Amino acid sequence: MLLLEGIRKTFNPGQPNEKVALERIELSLEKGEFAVVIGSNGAGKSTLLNVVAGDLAPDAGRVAIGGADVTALPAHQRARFIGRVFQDTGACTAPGLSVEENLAIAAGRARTRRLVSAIRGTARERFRNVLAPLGLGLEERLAARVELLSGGQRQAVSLVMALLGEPKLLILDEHTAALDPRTAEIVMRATVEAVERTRITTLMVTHNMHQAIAYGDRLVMLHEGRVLFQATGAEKRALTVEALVERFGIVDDELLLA
Amino acid sequence: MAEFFAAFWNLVPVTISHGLLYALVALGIMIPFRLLNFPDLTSEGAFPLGGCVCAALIAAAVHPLVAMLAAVVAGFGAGCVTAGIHLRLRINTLLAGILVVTMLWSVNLRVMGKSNIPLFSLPNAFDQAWRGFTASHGAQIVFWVALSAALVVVLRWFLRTEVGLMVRAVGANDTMARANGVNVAHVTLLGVGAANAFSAFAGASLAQIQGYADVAMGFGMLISGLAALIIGEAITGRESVLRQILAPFVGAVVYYLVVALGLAAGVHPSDLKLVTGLFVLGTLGLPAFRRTVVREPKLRA
Repeated sequence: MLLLEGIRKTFNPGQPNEKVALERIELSLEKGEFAVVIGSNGAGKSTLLNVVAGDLAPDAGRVAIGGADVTALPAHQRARFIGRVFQDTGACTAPGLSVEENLAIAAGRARTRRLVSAIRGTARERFRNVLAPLGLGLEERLAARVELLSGGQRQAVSLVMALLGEPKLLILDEHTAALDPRTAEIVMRATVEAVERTRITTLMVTHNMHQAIAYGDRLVMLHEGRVLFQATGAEKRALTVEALVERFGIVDDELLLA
Repeated sequence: MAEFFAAFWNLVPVTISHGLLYALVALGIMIPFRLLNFPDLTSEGAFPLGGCVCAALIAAAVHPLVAMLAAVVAGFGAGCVTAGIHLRLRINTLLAGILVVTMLWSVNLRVMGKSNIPLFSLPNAFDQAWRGFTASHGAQIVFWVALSAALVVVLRWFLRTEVGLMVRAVGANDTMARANGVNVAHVTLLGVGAANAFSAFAGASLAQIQGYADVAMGFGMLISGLAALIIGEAITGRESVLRQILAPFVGAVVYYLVVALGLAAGVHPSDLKLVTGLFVLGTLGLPAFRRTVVREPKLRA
């Protein structure tokens, strides 16, 4: 479903502050696979997601989604294949617009937008049906402006938005990192439920080792722009935080304490 | 006192129709500022561009309606140039606008071939469509009220369509818009273009109604429009799409009524721009002023 071949990205090439962010990344995700990407600051996690989403063009290499080469497609054209949730709780929603208007924008992602009322017919009912399972009461607040919601509620709405329009790939960029533990738990549970229900191929970046152990069926560890280690299936299930720490001698407190 | 009221009362009809004409400029400022989050100064140049293109074409015996259409297209183009400069060359939107306004001065002179074209003896679209229009305050008020109402209704509908939501998303959060498949550059280009098409339409209308186009007719237009928008938003608020669309219309009428009051009270017309500028400065600076006032007692305590 997602194929990355020989991805390289260097920032400020030829300048004193040159930084090799990605160095020959090879990654292949099967349809329905849930991959969790970990790595310390500067490992290239965000750069990787931005290359997949089309916000950054790689210097070399190929990005394919569902068998189609999308390397040359700009972000807004890839959006029909990709749903994204960012860490910043304000990044995925339009603050001055209502919940239902935000959902309508996301629902129109995969097709040409027309000059017809954005919220018509059964749209409200559909939106209620996708919001209700979150258990946050958002289905009763369709007309509320998103800026009035809490960070956790906004992330939940963002997750629902990312899954509208049946994208092929879900990208989660530390989407629970800015939330308090209880809300993070709610959003993470909603994420797992949604991923299991839709069987969508998922690429989740996290800073949190425990999350990386607990979720997903593939673990990808990035280090200095390379894939240092991958585990799937039984090997992934058998992983523990302690084992990872021991094996890679991780001294990055951030990864452990997050 | 009676004289003052008589003078003001005489100014009211023409003020309302002119206010609603200038409301289109305020609308042309509101759309980029509020909907697209693209602070744009181009209307200062798009307004006279509309007047000059329209006048030059009418003077060249082109049908007035075609001349107006050309003016609107020119205004749209001016807006697109500003947006394009910002998007392509990464130049600040305000600077891009100033560049375009400055260049349009020369363009307008080129278009007209001189600094002023009288239209008194030439046909104009309004009188053709409505006999005696430019001589009748009543006709003008009816027309501008009807046009404003129609624009408010259409814009309110548009901004709730799928396409309209796309426009609002670009202004509210362009990262979100992009992640949801919106081509932010295209929407910005078309939006800023459309906004300046409104300003150019106002310029083309004014040239025909007042009977001449002048290269300097846009001078101070931006600040008056901004003042009108600020007043309008203070009255209508910005909580809903409808309120935001109403603001330039309500604000422009109130602003020009206040100007008429000032003129009736004997304020010299040449002082108006200073007064308006100070008003805008005061309104925009009010939050900072409030902060210092609040802080002062604390300092003493």
